[in-house]
Amino acid sequence: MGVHPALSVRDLGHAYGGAPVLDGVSFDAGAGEVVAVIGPSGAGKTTLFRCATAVIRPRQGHIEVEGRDLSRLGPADLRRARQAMGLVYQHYNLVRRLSALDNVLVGRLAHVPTWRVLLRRVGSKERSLALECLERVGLAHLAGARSDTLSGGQQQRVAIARALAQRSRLILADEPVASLDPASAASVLATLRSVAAEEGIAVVCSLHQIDLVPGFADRVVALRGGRLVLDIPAGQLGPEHRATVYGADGLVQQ
Amino acid sequence: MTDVAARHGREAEAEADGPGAVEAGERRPATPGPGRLPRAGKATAALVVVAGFALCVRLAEIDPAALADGLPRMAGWAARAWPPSTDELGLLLQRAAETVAIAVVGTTLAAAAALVACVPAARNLTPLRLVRVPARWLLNACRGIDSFVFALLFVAAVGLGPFAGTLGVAVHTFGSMGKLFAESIEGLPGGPLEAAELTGASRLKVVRWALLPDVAPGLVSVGLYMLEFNIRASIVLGVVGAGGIGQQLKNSIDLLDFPRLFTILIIMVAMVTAVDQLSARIRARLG
Repeated sequence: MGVHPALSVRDLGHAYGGAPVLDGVSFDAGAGEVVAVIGPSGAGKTTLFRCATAVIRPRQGHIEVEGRDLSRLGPADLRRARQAMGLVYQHYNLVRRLSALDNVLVGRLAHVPTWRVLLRRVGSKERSLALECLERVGLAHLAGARSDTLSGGQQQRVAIARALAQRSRLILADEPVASLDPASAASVLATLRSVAAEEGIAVVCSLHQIDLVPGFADRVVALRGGRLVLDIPAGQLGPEHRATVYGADGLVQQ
Repeated sequence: MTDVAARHGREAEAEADGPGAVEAGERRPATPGPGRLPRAGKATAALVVVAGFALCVRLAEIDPAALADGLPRMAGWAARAWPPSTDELGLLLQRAAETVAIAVVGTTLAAAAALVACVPAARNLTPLRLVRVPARWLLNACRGIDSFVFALLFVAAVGLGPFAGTLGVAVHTFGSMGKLFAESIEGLPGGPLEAAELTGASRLKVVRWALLPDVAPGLVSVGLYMLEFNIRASIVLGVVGAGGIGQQLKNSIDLLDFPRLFTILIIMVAMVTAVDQLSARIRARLG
């Protein structure tokens, strides 16, 4: 919304101990845009996501969400910024014993009065909003099912519905399909794709398989050894880019 | 309090120091471990253990002759205990109910307090040592002093009777339960909590919505286990005048009224078994 991109990564650098994991990474993600972040394991993708959620403070550069520099926000403002930032993880991170619907309602907790949360009576308005989000990811019929009885692909779509319930303008998905079979992976990526297109949400999604990018992302950025080595429209991605992303060794492996 | 998420970040950094930890692990076998003692060392160790045990036997005043004298006397009591007396069955059952009540109310009060105290005592909810360490101390102090000792103190404070016993049970159980609750919470996976926290919801909401549902069965299980334990502990409390069937037990022994004592023992075993069975069944269903 507005003049600022949903997510703006500026000259980001970080290191654990002495070893740099991110080095001068910059890119933007605009509203409704799907940006795939690809790269081999250890390329710095997870660190990038943890900086983008302000879980870790980068040593260099900064992250802007809708024009606001996360490193300058106090605890209250940071909390507010996170409310509009939906996260999707490799391992779904659902509350096992809660139903799918109650897991989606996790995305509403920040907006529901404390006493209602304590009594677990969030009200019918919130429940129908959560149900709409489940419907959006095609799982309304499983609203009452306990989340640990769902398949991996279903759990990941519940996690996307949780992000939608936050009314996120930005969804950060860190390896969302790394634990899924190809069919489930395709349905999860299609869901992310459609929420970006239809709700105008910026989706930044890391993948370690370059083959998943076509048909999913609008733009692809690649990290290798902590540096940005590629930032092109997904349509321009060709076989020649494999070596750029994975190096000569990776080329042989593929 | 630092939030769960920030703690995660620090852990990630700690992992980067991995090689150091590996070194520490490898250094350990170099110092002589239990399996690496030389033969002379082994002999010395055995000697120390045997001598230590002998000292303990001495301190415990183990006296087989006294047992040999006493056993026939006990056999005589057993013979005189039959048949168990039913004269005061009504009173004894009422006292047994009092013992159950002490355990139930004491455990419930303890559970309510432990539910609050386990939050500052759990590492994943309270990374700040300044808060967590004193919370742990409080729990350990309550746990370290037996219900029996607390009951003695409360008898002096609030007078004879089951109320003193209930308070004694509650304070000790609070310590044990708070510790076990905190450990249950620490055993939960961190991911769902982080996900809930990063939606910008407050800590209290996250605990209620994303933590309690997953941890509740474990907490109930701990509560039932403590209840079983407290039924047995409450029996003894009567001896110090803190109410319940224990008081009748002591009276019967003092008066050498063995048929009555026998009845009390039967009631005690039945009571403990019934509660254990019920509790085990409920716990099996929690899954």
